[in-house]
Amino acid sequence: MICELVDVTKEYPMGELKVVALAGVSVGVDAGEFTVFAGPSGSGKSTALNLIGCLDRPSSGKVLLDGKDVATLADEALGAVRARRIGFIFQSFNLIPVLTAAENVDLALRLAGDTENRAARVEKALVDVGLQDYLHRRPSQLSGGQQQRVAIARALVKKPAIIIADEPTANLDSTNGEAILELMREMNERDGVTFLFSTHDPMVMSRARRVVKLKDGHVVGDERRA
Amino acid sequence: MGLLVSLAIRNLGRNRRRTLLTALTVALGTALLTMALAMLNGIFDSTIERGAGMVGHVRVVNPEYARREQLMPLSDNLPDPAPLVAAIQGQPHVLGVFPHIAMGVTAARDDQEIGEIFALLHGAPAAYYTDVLHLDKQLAAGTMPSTDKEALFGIALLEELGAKVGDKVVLLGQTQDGSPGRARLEVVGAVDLGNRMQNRQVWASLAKVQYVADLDVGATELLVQVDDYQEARAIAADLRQLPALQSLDVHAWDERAPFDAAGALIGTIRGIAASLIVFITGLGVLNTMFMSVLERTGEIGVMRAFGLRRWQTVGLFFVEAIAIAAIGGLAGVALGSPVVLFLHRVGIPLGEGASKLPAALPINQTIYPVLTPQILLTGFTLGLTMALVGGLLPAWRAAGIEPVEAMRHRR
Repeated sequence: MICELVDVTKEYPMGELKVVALAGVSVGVDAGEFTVFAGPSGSGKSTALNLIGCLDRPSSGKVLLDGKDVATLADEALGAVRARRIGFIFQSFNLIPVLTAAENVDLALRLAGDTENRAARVEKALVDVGLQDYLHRRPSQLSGGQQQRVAIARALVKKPAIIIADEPTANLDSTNGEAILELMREMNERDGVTFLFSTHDPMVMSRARRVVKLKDGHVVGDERRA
Repeated sequence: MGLLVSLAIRNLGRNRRRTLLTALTVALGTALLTMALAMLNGIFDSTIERGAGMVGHVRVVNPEYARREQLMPLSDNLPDPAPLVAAIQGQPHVLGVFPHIAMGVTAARDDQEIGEIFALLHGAPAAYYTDVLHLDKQLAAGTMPSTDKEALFGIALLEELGAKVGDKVVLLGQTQDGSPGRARLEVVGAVDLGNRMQNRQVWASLAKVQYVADLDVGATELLVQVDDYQEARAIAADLRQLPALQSLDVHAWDERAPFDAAGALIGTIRGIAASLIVFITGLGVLNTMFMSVLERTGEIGVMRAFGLRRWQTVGLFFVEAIAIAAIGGLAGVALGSPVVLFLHRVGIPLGEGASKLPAALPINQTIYPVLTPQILLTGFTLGLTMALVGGLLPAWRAAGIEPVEAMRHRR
C-alpha cells in the first residue's frame, strides 16, 4: 500500500467549538489505483486528501506513506516528502503566473532538488499532456484546460508515488473536464501512475476504478470497479 | 539560490506600478538621507574643522592653565616656548607649531575714553593668521598687518567702536601679575568671519601681545597643526611621550571643551536623522511588501506544497526587497547628489541665530553641504537597510504560511 490513513481523526477549532472533519477514518490506496474520494461539501474528502498529501497533520491516528508514519515528521522533513513523493493538481490550477509552462514544470523538479536531465524531462512531460507547442507560454496565455494540463505535467514530471488531485475538473467546462480526466486515466493505465481525487461530480466518479464515499467525516462506502 | 533570484526578479515586473512606487519611496529616502548626511558633513567640515584649527588640533599648555582655562590665566603660561616648539616641530604629521596668547581687553578709539566694549585679543605669529585662520582671505577691508603696531579687527567690534581701517584703537588689559597693560594699535584690516561673536576679536602680533601681557618671550599655549585633524588624538598621545612635554597638558581638539561634546552630539544627530529616515522609508516598503505577500498567499502555499522551504520563502521576498532597494538606492543617490552639489555651490543660510553662538564653537551663518564617496556609500547602504527593514516582517509572514491554509485562501 502506498499510503494509508489509520484511525485518523481531524478536528478544527471554530471559536470555542471543535469541528470534526474526519472521525476515526481508516482507508488506504495501492499503487496504480485510480481512486476518488467522493462526498458532498463538508464530508471530509478534502481533509483526507490534505492529510495523505502531507499538507496537514491529523489530530490523532497515523498517516502512512510507504509504510512510514509521516504525521510525526517535522515541517522541513514533511516538505521534503511532499517535494519528492507527492504530486498535486489543484482545482484552480495554481500555476505561477510569472513563469512559462516549461518553467512551471521545471519548478517542481528544482524544488524537489531533482536536477538530472531537467530540460528533457520537462519537455517530455509537456509533450505527454499535448502541450508541445505551448512550452514558452505563460499561464495568462493559456486556456483553463491547457493550464490544467500544465498542472498535470508539473505533478507528473518528478515521478511521484501518488498524484493527489483536489476537484481537478471543477473549474473546467465539461468538454475540457472530460479531456483532462481521459488524459489522467490514460496515464494511469499506460504508465501505472497512481491518482487519488476528491470530487462530487458524478462524471468524475463514473470514470474512477474505485470510489470511496465519505459523509460527515466517516467512510460510508468503498466501491471497486473492474 | 538561482531559482529564488530568477523568481524574485520576475515578480518585480508583475505589478510594475507598485514596484516603481516602492523603489521611489526608497529613492526619496536615500536622497533625503544623502542630503542630510552631506549637510551634517558640511557643518562638520566648515565649522568643526575650522574651530579645531583655531584652538589647535593639538594644544600644549601649562596643566594649571588647562584647569582654569575659562579664566584665561596669563600667569599659568609657558615662559620659554622655543625649546618646546623645536621638540614638536619635525614630529610625524606635524605641519606647524604656533605660540599663542589670548586675553580679554576693553577697547576704545584712541580719541575716546575707555568704555565697556570688550574684545578678545590674540597674539600669534603672522603665519598662524594666514596659514591656519586664513584671515587674509576673510578681509572685508584693508590689508594684513606688517608691523607690531598694526592689527586686524573684527567688523562687529569696529562697528561698536565706530572705527574703520586707518583708525587707531586703544586696548586695555591686565598683565600676568594683574597690572594694567595697554596697547595702541592701528586698524589695518577689517575681518568678517561670518559670525558676530567671532567678529568681536583683535588679531595682533605675538610680540605686541607679549608686551601687553608682560610675558617677555612666553605664551599661554602652543597650537599644533597636523595633517589630519581627525587623527589628532593619536598624534597628541605620541607628543605626550616627548620628554620636553611630559610635565605639560597635551590634548587634541576633540578631547577638550566644547568639541569633546560636539563630536558626540553630531554623531548622535547623524544617527537619529539616519534612523528616522530609514524607519519612515522602511514603513513605506513594509506596506507594499505586505500587500504583495497577501496577494500571493495562495501562490506561496502552492510553492510550499511543492517543497519550498521556509528559509527559501524568506529569501524570495528578501531578494525582491534587495532588488527594489538597489534600484531605489541608486536612483536616490542619483537624485540627491545634484541637489547636494547645487547647495554646495550656493550654500544654505542658517539665519541670525547661528551668529550668536559662542566664538569657541563657531557656526557659520551659511553652511555648505559636502558630498563624499563615503556619504554616497552610506546613503546607498542605508537605502538597502530601508528595504530590508521593510521586507523583513512581510517575508517572515510569508514563511509562516501553511500550504493547507493557503489552499483554502485560494479557493
